[in-house]
Amino acid sequence: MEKDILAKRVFLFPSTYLLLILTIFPICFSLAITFTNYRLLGSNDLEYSFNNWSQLFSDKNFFIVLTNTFKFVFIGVIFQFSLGFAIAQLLNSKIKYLKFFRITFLLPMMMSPVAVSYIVGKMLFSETFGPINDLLSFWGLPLFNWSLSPIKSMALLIMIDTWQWTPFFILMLLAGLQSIPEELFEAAKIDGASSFQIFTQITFPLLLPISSTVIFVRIIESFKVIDIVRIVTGGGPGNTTETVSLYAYDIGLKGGDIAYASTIAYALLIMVIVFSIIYFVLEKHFKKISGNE
Amino acid sequence: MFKFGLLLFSVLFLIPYNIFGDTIRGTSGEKFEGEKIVVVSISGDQGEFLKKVAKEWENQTGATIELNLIPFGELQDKVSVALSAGAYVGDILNLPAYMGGDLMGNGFIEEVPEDVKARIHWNDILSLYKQQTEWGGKTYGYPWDGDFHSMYYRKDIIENKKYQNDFKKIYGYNLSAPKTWDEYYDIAKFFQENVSELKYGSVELIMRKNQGFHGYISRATCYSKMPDNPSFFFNPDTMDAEINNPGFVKALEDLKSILAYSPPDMTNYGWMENVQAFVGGIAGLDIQWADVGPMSLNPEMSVVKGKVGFGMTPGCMKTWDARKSRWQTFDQVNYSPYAAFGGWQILVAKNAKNAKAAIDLASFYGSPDTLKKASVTGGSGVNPARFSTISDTSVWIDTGFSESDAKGYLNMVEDVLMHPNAVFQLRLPGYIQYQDALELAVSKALSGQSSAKSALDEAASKWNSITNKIGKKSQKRLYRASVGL
Repeated sequence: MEKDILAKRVFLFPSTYLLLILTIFPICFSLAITFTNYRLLGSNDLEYSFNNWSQLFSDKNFFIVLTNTFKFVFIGVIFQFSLGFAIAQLLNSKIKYLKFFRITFLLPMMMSPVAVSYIVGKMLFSETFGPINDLLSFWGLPLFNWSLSPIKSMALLIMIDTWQWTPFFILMLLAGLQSIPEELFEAAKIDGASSFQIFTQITFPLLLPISSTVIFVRIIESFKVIDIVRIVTGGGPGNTTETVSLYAYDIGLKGGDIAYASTIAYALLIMVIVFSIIYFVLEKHFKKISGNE
Repeated sequence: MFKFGLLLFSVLFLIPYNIFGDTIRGTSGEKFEGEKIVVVSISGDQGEFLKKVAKEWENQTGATIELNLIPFGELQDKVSVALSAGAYVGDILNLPAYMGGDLMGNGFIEEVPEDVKARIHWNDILSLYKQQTEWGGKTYGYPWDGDFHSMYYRKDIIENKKYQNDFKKIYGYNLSAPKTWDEYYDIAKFFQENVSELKYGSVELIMRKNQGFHGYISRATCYSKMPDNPSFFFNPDTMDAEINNPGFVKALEDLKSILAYSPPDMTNYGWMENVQAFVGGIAGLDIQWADVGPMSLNPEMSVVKGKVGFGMTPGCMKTWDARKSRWQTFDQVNYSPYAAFGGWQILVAKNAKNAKAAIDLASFYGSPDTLKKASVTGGSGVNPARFSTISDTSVWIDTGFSESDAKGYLNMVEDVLMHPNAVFQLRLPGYIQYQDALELAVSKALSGQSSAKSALDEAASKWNSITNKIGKKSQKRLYRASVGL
């Protein structure tokens, strides 16, 4: 018996060790850094205080970038989910060239966000050289001059993110749709249910578990957005499209103020954890109401 | 006979080799057989050039060069993180001068030995660029790239008789290369509204997190830099930021007014998009680094070969005197060119694995011959930093410049680099934080989210808190030293 316990411990040791080194230690270390004045390439005389946390609460820019991040995340994910759901429904029906469309719709997700940002943001939507404005001009429509407009700049970023990540929703929701037994739809049709009723009473509730998981994963991912913002708008105009991750990255790795950047990153982590708890509580409640639990 | 033969051999080969062979290349002549030198630089042509140009050094010493190329966006982060952790990143670091405050000031870089300075003709380096190699009275950097902003304009249009007449009718003075920012505005407006060959008047660098700091400072220098006051960014006595004084505000207001005569998305133009707009024939005026000269000759990207004029960035007729808190007017234009970015420099890491060989290679890079070759090679990213580079017209003509264009270009370079009222790139520790705070203010003002004054007030307050956080006393000492006080 004792031998078994020893063997279990021996086998568990590598993974526990890796977990401690790669996950727990960085989390604890970065938390500790938030209470110091540590700078990259700075002197090693560390002072310990709550200065970074008090700076965070008086940092107007932090609250601006936090608001921007929430706008980007929630508006973007709503669009991606809605579009993804609609396209998944279409791809689940019997249409011509289904395989071609299925593969084509998944292509954006396979591309690097940096490449997507350049292709869409810097080339297609370039106000001087881009074909979108050329087309708008050709049709006599107002030009999409976004670089000095906070709303249009944010809209462009959401558009790029939506273009790239809607396929993720399509992929997951299509798998969900295909797992619903066909008999349910046939029975509903025999009972005289309309398409709308089939959608609201069968398709949507049955896809709820997978939808909530996919939405959650995308929300968590979107909170960390940095690449497309940095390339397309640089956070501008002003700081109206700057996100928390970009803000922390610039302060920490560009500016060298690692201690304050860690504080910002921790603040974001705390918010994401709080959001996740609320999300799961609401999800549980909603599933209870819809009888999906 | 044998003695005569030996003497002849010495005269014909050995003596010239010892006198010119080593000094021309700047190396010690030592062999480093089998050793490997790792050079850290930016990805792309600029970094790869460091290997290509040093083939001769590899052959001569028997050592090999391995490149550790990092994309520009990550270069500073990776080097800073590695050095902070005490990790080895490379023997030679090819980095922007603005990192000098963090690297040289904190003991990460090997000093340049005195004998090497003599070997690579230290006095041949332009005084503005000697500054970038020094920190706290010691020399750490080997000369490489002499960066500065200057003005490029469409000479063919400015010299066109029809346009000259039209311009005089509208503005009441002769059309010529702009000497002040007011003239620059008029000419940009004229180009956009009256010149059919051009779509926009001017193109400048103003994107946040992408050279916007330099684009704005190029405009602010003449409004805030008094010829008899060496300081510019800070009050050298109190270390309070000067960036919200009326001179800086005026420059930001000017910058905002030029947007009407610039490409609509200029606020998102990086370095290359800016160059493309000018050499692609879309805009008629450009404020940029000196690379525009050689790039205007490249037929693959340029439609303006032989049509480009070169000049210092425009000046001002009045300048804010921060010491007396009043505007000072001038009879002659007050020019104040800006050594934007400060150039790339060659540094030998303190934790280099092969310090001796690294110093030898660094001195090869910094030698007059190598720098002459680098300055005229498109894509090397190197602008002139030595007298010997700007005094030799022939190498420039060989690259495709006409004789008059080569002279015009080199005169402009000399005017800028020898200017007594030039402003050098800020090099304090935490530079990027200062840069970002100012770029945010510029971006807010240009997009109409704040007035120029309130945006700059906010930035100045941010600068003061960055200074306080890093340490006001040490920042003040370093700033004063950087402006020669």
